[in-house]
Amino acid sequence: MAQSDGQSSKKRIVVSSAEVAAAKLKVERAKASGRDVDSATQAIADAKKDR
Amino acid sequence: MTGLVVAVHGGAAIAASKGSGDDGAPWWLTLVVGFVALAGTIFSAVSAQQTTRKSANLDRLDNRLESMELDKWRHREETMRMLRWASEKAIDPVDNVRLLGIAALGALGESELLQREDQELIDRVIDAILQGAVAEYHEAGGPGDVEVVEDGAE
Repeated sequence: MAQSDGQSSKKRIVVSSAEVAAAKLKVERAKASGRDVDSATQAIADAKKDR
Repeated sequence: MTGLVVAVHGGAAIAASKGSGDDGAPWWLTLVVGFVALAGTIFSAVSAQQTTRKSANLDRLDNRLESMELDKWRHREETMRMLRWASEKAIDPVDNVRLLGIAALGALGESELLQREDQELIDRVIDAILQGAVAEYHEAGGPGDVEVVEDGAE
């Protein structure tokens, strides 16, 4: 489940590895079938690892 | 009187010359009629043999197609079972199990045995996994206002 962290100017959302994997799969499937991907899914798929 | 009877039966021409060659029928006509009759008989025999062979080949082809259909059906059954299993794993509370389910869904999504409705099931499962995060992303303001990071804790 995603968690929020509002310390920086940008609101930070922490997502799980499974959510990132699901978003990546959705982007991959959308590309393969020529569909558009919504910005939220793309952002989750591009999420960087939290340190 | 010389009578010439030509009977056509199943593609075969059977010709018979009635009477003797002495009462006016030229010898070459008798020969031609005999040849036609012989050719007809041979043609009929060959044709019957070919029909039997074709029929046997068709039976063999039918059996092979049936067997292939059965194989395909069995594979599809197995694929559907795996799809159900992967869908259940993909919504498991444990993150690592969900990763396993998502990876399996990805692999199954490439299977030619899945039909369009099955592909939609995969999409729905993915949407269900992402539902919370996507809603939160939009609530937080969307592109430009949100930084998405992956939880580093294993």
